[in-house]
Amino acid sequence: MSDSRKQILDMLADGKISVDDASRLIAALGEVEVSRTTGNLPKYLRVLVEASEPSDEGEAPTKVNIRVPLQLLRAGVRLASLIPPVAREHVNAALHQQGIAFDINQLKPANVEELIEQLKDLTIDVDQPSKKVKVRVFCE
Amino acid sequence: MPPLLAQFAIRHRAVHLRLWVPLFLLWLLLFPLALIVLLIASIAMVWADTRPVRIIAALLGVLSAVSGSMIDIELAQSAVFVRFV
Repeated sequence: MSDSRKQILDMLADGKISVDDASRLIAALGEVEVSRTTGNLPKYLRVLVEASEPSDEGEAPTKVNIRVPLQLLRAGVRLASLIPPVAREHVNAALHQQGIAFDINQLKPANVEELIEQLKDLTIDVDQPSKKVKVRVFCE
Repeated sequence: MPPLLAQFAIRHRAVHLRLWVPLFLLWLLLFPLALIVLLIASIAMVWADTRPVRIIAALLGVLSAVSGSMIDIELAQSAVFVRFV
């Protein structure tokens, strides 16, 4: 429990504020906490690739810059949760055939926020000097 | 909100093409057609024992989430740029 919530409950216990006031204060506190949490969440997944063949000296390198809104991930998962169970079994079987051990039944909107929160700290840097390839995946 | 504007840029050797597509006009034009399609799709979904409102809401969610997407690929002699605003 946060210090602010404790303070409100202490004030209620001491009779300094009414139950209605405490309820209003706790609700307001909750809104502030939610806005703080969502404010820190990343909005986009970025993929940056810079590559050039060793034989292409002097030529401009190949550059790829992709920005995917994480809202698309949320919407996709919401859509995936509406897939009928029969179709899910087909999808799972097809994924298994391709060697992908993934169960789309585990894909639930409730888990997405947690996943996105974890993505906040995700950064993948691949630097291969011999092939002059740099790949960077991160969230912003 | 669905994307209101799509920006395309294509470059191949000396050819440069830039295109701004006002999607909000496209949505306005497609709205009557979308209503008819939605009606038919809803009937089909009810017949197939699925929940049309949730599916349509989820599809609209996907469409709305496209805003902010960007793909920028530059090769030595050509380039493609797509952005939804």
